[in-house]
Amino acid sequence: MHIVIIGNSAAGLAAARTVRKVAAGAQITVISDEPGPAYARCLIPEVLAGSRDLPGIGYVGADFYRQYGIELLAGQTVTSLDVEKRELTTANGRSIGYDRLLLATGASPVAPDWPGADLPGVFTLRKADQAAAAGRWARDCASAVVAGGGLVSLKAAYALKERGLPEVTVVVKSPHVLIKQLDAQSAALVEKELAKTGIKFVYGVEPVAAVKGPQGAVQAVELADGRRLPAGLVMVGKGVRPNVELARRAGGRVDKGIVVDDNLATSLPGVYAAGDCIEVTDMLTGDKTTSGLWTLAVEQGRCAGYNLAGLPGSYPPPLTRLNAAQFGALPFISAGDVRGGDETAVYQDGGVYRKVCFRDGRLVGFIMVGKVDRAGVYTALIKQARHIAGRLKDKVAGGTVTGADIVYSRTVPVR
Amino acid sequence: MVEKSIDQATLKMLKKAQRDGIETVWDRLAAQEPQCGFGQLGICCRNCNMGPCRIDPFGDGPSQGVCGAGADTIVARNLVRAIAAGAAAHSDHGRGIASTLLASAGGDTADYPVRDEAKLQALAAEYGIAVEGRATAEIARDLANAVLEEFGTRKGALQFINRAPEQRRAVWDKLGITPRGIDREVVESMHRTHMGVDNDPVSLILQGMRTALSDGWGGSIVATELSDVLFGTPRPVKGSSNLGVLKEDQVNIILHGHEPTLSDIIVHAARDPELLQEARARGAAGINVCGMCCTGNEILMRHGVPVAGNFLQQELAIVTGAVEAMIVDIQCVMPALPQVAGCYHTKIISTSPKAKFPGAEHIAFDEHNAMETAKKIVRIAVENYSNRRAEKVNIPADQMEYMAGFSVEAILEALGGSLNPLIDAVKSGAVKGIVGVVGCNNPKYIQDNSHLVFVRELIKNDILVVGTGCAAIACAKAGLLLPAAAEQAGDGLRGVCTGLGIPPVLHMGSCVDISRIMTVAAAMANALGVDIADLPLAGAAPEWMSEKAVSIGTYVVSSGIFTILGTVPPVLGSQNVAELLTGGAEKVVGAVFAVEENPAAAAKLAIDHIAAKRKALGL
Amino acid sequence: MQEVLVDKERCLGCRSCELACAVAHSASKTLLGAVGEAKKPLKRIFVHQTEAGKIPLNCRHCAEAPCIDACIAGAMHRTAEGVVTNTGGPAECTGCWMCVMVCPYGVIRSEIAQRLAVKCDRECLDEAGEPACVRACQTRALKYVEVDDFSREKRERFLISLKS
Ligand SMILES: Cc1cc2nc3c(=O)[nH]c(=O)nc-3n(C[C@H](O)[C@H](O)[C@H](O)COP(=O)(O)OP(=O)(O)OC[C@H]3O[C@@H](n4cnc5c(N)ncnc54)[C@H](O)[C@@H]3O)c2cc1C
Ligand code: SF4
Repeated sequence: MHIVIIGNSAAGLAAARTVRKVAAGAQITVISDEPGPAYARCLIPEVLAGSRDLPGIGYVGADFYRQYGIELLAGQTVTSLDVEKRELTTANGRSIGYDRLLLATGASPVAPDWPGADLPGVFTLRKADQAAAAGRWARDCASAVVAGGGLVSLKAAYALKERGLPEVTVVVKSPHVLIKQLDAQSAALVEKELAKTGIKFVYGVEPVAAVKGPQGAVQAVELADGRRLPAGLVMVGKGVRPNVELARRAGGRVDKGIVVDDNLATSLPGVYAAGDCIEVTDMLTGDKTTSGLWTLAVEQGRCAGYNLAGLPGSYPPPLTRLNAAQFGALPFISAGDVRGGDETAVYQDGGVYRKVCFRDGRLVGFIMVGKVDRAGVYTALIKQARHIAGRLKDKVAGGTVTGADIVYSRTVPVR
Repeated sequence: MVEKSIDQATLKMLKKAQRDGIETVWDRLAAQEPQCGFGQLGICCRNCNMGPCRIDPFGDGPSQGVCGAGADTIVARNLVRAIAAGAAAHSDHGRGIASTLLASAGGDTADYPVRDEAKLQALAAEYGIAVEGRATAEIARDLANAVLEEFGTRKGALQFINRAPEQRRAVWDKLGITPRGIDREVVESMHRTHMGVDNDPVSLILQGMRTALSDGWGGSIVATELSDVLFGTPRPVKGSSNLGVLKEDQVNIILHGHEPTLSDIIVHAARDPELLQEARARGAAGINVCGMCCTGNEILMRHGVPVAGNFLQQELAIVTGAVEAMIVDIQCVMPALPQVAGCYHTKIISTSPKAKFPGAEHIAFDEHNAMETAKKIVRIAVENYSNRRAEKVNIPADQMEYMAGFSVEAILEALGGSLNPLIDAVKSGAVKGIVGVVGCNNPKYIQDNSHLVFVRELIKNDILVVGTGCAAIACAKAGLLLPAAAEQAGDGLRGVCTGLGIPPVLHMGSCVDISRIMTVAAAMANALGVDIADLPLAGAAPEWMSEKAVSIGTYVVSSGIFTILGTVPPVLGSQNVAELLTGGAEKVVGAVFAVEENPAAAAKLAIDHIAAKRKALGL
Repeated sequence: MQEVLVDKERCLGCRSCELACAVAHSASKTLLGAVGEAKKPLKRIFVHQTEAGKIPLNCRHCAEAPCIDACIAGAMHRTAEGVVTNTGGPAECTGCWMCVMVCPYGVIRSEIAQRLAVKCDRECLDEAGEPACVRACQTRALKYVEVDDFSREKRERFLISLKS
């Protein structure tokens, strides 16, 4: 059996590993339009910062593909699928047949629609080569503007500071950074930590144009309120869009992302999909949404791997909000729904902040800043969706719950 | 089994114990391992029932008990409680002797006549008790009463501290640690370490020092001096040591524990012709009374009674299968003895109302019916000879001669009536200094190894060693208490020893008799007109294990003598307390503790310390 | 694979396992040495109080370990012996705390200053191949056993996994 996987990253590799584990004899081909072996995508800000080079963020050992018997076709773009013939075509005209196919094509950054968005010096941050190019460009810059207050944007801003840019300004449309992950109090702590490095913040406005300089490259950013911020480099972080085109053009169902069933099968015969390119159902809200997390991509990749190898396994609706990071000396974790909920418990002591949110007696979200130990217990409680009351609730609210409490708490899960 | 002991008799009996299926202290230690790290560091507290509490030594968990006590407070409290327990043990022993003296003086017991009238008079004079033209019993009564009064005295300070040089007393007064009453300091220590009383580690440790001083210059000195009055002041005497002193063809009785009150009279009772006759009738050639631990030291010092061994050999003596009775009183008597004895014919007979042992026969002993009870006990042993099973008997041949009995008076006699020859030898450098080597055995360390390596290294470097307790027995077994051992000494010390006909290691008695060492140190300081802290002296407890040793170490340091501990005390959970004991105390009492498990390295510490003190004195 | 199993009826909460774990991960490997070390060693087992009693908890080295899934650096991996660890693998830990966020047992610690996730790594086995925590347990509440050897009914008394 020949299993072909498009995408050599979180989802694709997890799938390949799993197939190898459960179907020792399968032929596995992994195709990627990026060059070289897999790297840790989330660490590309370090390449931007100049603290590591591309080999420095390698995700697998040098011997990985040989060891797992995986044929890697790197630097090759798949341009179309023929699901009838079970065959795909690459940009250089090569046709490759398959028995089962996995689309693990990930997502691409949303490009800005403002004038000047295509000027030299305007970047997005998704791939290692972009990070490297932006890093090189940054060497000659005194100032940068980062558009967007999400995690990738902040990581980019931090990296540009590490790179040594004197002036880095983050332009955030929302009232505070990390609007999806944090509340105002916790965001203030993160902002304070970032501000220590000299990063500046502008809230409540959006860039409307990139302004061309005498050399033909970007030299400033114009904001909606008319202000102009000098910018030798502009980093745009306006989110990502799932890479769905291959599936769509082959006639597959696409909504927020590629639509898959419980077994991660697409509507196309013999074609599965996993990772950032698919649409998932959020376990808390029941809403259809994109996936967008490394963790989920790996989980889905593994689940898809079983299915590709002919061992059916279903993928339960995931928790789609799960973020952990550290800026400077400040770690933080945010999981689940941190704004909704009908009851919250908040603790703050200087740089340590904790908020836990309940809805209908269940834990639905939490934020931890400054101290993050045992966060996983809270994540597990959200996933278990169990009713939390009495002493367990006191411990959850008080930040003292431990793994032992949930292992031995006999409360029946609600669902 | 080499790692358990360097004593051949011990090793042989350990093999036998294994064959006989006997569990010994080493097996129980192995079963306890790994031992609790919180306990080892001294950071657990059970002083109230909000606890028990413990402090995370790695700063990774709780840093305070429920009450808020941190590591410093908890470690200091635990240390002070250990000192209080040790001081209480010595002092209660002293009280027992004083009570016996009172009973003797009151004519309540004919069995304990005053044996050293000269000493009685000297002590009475020290207490300002009139002696001229008075009967011995009267003086004895007044002295006993005066001494007993010291336990709960309201006069402000203990009498015997006046033996210390003025400079030392000034240090104590300035720090407010002059001991006020023997019982009082123990009581106050228990009070201060109660939940929510004294929480300042420095204040606590100062009280620990005062409590220890109430032992060293109170309870212990009382025990020593009044024992001399009642049982005679030791004079040089010879005997032999180690398990080989047990006799295959005799009724073997081992006296184990601490008080001379019982042991001394048993020595006499065993000479009773009727009992000897009885023994012969049962086929024994005689009655062989041997000592063990400090009871052993008391009778060895006064009568040259053979000593069967030190602390770690108490079970092994029974394992020989040749002991008819082990008669015990107080302190350092392992609760395991009845269990070991249960596998042989040995009878364990406890005698003190303060110390009972499940599985042992209890025969209450007090001064009023002493001889009668002693004979009764010896008779039990004699009768038990018939139960001895030859196939279980195996006495190791190992034994070694010793010369002991070096009380202060005996040393003065050897020196011709004054300390001057010794002081001159120190001045000339023939004797570089004096180190007191004392304390127990501890199964965590190779039995006797630390004692012997340490002592040999010192005498080689011309340092005169004075010993007591199980340390001295270790030296006895190794032949270091023989004048011939002077050959192992450096040229200077060898010359002095050969000239006086004394060994390079002087056995000064049981563990309360460390007071004798303090008396000598004080006398030397007075003779030179300096503080004790100025003298080229050191103390060491290479294999200590008991709370008494904690009290001893603390009063020795508080008296100005650098003291090396060979086993690690449970204080490392508080860096502040550990620093105070090993560093900060220098500025306060002029001496510190050092902890060094390696005996050769410990010897180097002592040698260097003595060199430094000599230099400071311009010697 | 051998696992550290917990017989919770036997745990007295003495925390000896915690100390032994820290000491095994110290420079000196001795308690008395470790307390003096400038860099305090870190324990990777935690004794917790629950309504059901005292429970020592450390990494279960899960079959489908969520921490491995979550590791964005590729540092968290499973060794040939089945040990889940973030050291000595294909990549270096960067301290992003993804693993801390997903470990349901809460037994991965975040060393914030070092940017290092710290967990049970079995770098503590003695000559007999027994982990330090198991060796330290006086009551044998911790046992190191081949899980397959374990009879079902016995196994029920032990902590196995979250899902069961
Ligand atoms: C800077 C940054 C920081 C991040 N930080 C975090 C974080 O902290 N935590 C977290 O959970 N997530 C984070 N993410 C998100 C995370 O990287 C993604 O969720 C994850 O990479 C998704 O994996 P995937 O395998 O689905 O897709 P991708 O990693 O996007 O990989 C898809 C691969 O398929 C290739 N491909 C696509 N189309 C084709 C084609 N037609 N032909 C050939 N090859 C094709 C792509 O080039 C790519 O190599 C971060 C992302 C970025 C950019
Ligand atoms: S006295 Fe303090 S430290 Fe000791 S047990 Fe009570 S609360 Fe705990």
